[in-house]
Amino acid sequence: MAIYNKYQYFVSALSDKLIDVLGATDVYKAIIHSDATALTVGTVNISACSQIPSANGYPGTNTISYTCANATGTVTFVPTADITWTASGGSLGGVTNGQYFTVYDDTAATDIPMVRFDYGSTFTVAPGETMTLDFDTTLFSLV
Amino acid sequence: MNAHSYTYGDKLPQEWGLRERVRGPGSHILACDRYPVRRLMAYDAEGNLDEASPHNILPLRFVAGLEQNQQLASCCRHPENHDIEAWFSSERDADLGIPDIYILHCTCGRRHVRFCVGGGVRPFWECR
Repeated sequence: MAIYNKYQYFVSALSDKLIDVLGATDVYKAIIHSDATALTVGTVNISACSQIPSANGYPGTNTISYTCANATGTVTFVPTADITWTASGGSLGGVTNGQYFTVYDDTAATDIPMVRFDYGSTFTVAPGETMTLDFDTTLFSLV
Repeated sequence: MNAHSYTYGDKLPQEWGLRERVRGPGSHILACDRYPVRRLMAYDAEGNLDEASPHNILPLRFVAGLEQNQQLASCCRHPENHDIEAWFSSERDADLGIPDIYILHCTCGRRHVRFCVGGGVRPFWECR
């Protein structure tokens, strides 16, 4: 699987009760950005990521539908649908330098980034093309 | 052509590890050569897919997502006419032997990319 890069603030935010993974009430979103935002910063907001502009089929944020379960002490976060961006009218976001995907908690006041995935190269989604963030099964587990 | 699906965590056949690495953009490494989707899925001559067939190497969502996307050109919504190739996004993924990037190439030249960040089945095929 793509390398799972955890933002360290995610863990402390969980402990501070800023993120409610199991409650099924928090809203989680995904963005595309062009920079490798530091994972080690003590407190970080999603605005620290250089998100690609909202243009040409990229809406800015994308809500993740999900279920969450707790079994024998392990909490699993399972997205129930992939996210597909379809470029139209120009390249997605009007840029050619998207590379990273970050999932964050949009409910917390500070929009806490949780995990980042590196595509491994910059990418351009030309008009009529698609980029899909494929979650399939469990995105992460808390043990 | 040998093809199979496997679940995240499975070991790959030894020969995959012996293949010379073909590098792409950035840190990408080729996992599976470009190959017709039609030969990895149980399509009939009219392009109808037998969704229940055990011969479907690709997860159904790989093709359903394109078929149902109303924003795409007509040709792009017919993945049975596409080719597909698989890549590793990083050296580490290549060492694990688990592809995480699948690119479907339409006949019109457009590309449809899936970046797999969760668990689940990752199809793998070899062209000889």
